[in-house]
Amino acid sequence: MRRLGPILVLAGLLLAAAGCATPERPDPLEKMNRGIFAFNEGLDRYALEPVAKGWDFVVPGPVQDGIENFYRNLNMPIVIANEVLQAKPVRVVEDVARFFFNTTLGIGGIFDVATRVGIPDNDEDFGQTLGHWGVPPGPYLVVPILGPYTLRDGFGEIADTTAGAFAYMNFFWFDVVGLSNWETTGTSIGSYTFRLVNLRAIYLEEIASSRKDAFDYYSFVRNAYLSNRQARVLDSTDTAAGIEEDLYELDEEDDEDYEDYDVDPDEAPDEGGTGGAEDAEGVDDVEAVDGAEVRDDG
Amino acid sequence: MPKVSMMSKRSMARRFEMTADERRADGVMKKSGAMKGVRGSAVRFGFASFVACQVAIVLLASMVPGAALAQAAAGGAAAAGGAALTEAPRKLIDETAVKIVAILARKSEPTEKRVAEIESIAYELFDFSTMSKLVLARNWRNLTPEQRTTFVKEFKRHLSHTYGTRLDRYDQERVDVYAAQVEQRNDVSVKTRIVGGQFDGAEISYRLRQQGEPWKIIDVVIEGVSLVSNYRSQFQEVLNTGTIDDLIAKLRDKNFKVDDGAKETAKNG
Repeated sequence: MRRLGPILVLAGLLLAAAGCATPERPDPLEKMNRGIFAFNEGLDRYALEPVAKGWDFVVPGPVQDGIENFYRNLNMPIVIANEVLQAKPVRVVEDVARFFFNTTLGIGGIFDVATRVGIPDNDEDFGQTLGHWGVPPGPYLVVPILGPYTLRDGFGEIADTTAGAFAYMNFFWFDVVGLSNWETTGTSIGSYTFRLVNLRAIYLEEIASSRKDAFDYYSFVRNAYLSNRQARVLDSTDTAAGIEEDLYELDEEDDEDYEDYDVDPDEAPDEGGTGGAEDAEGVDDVEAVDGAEVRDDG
Repeated sequence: MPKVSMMSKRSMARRFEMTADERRADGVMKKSGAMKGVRGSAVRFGFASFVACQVAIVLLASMVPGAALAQAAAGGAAAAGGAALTEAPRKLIDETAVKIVAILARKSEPTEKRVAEIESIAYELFDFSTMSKLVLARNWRNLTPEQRTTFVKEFKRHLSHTYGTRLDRYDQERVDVYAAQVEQRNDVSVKTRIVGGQFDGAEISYRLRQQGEPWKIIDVVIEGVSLVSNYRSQFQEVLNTGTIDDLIAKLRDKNFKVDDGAKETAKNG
């Protein structure tokens, strides 16, 4: 409970900031966030990623998957609780079945038997529960070590973790294993770190290429996180969900007539390219060449 | 890991009407190290758990129908609305997905050739002009015609580099086109789901618009993350501190590096 003190103070400060967060301006704390983001990136580059690479070198892929499956299965009661809170009975049935089969036949969740037999893999957490009942996400937050959150989802994470602590830490570590308070905390942090390293190993390639391809990695992560969270809250991956309303609106002047700028006046790309195949294939569809028309711009 | 016997495997396949693709995806052990998606990762398991799994199936059969029925009903309702308008784009995505999967499945052919083939399909399918307009939003109107042409060209190259090469790593998967709906501006979004492989269950939605004759893709939304929206936010950041020429230079620079990298791997591989 002592740990909650500073968190509550922080939450108060953030609630003040929440007033400034609007859908058009989801990141009022951008300056601070960028600082923390840079810190997290450094931490990842010099600590987490190298360790994860080592782990990935030693541990085969299916074992990594099994470990992550185990942790996900461990979290299923929290998922189910949130489905109850969101009044989604179908999902509750699906996930009770999932938890039951994966825990027993999947040997403690290591094997994802449920997915193989076609039980959908639902994902719910308390942040989504709050969103489901209309709580707005609030300002975007990058938390040291833990990464991107919104105020709502950060709070949800605290709630889920606390609930998980009561469900597992107190019962399992205290009563079954018989650890003391400090040992329990230490073990839990160790366990969290282990999951993190393993998960990082699973996504080594994706993260490396995202970083490399990004024009502004901070914006990339923020946009991806916020959109994905919104889609999860709405249980929908509609194009309409999770993104700005006017995303598909063109500027008025462009609305009138369609102009195709997808033309290659000088067909060969200047750098010589990746060898003939791509260039040869790409340019054989020469479309209406109206890209050179002169326009009056204000 | 013991192999599941052909007999029991077939019976399971019949039970759940697995497709050939799925069965192949299930049978092939993943290479370690590369691309292990956790989302619904179907970890291979041994014979003992397979037998146990059969038991589970019987038990499950009594529970699942309710859920399945509810989903089918929802799907049917969605499909009924605006079926006429969504038919063409849906068919387009469906056919393209089949074509792409077929190309990916020809593993004996050189990667470069297959990437090139996929790219030429993608070039027909994507409306890079509209995508560029949407990505640059307000900034588009300030571009000269030359800048517009250059931007579209470089953005197109960037997309085919990043997604073309990534696409090649996704194999042994099937694309399930399960819904389509009419959006604002008479756009149509076609929803697909990846079946099997590392990203089993991943939701990818395509937004198409008809300008002139053919339907073309103007956005790809992966698990709720819109390509257009994501690039828009990144490009806005670059444009906040620099000009459009800086952005084009950055694009060109990245494309150049990727070309270089491709040459390197071609040499080494």
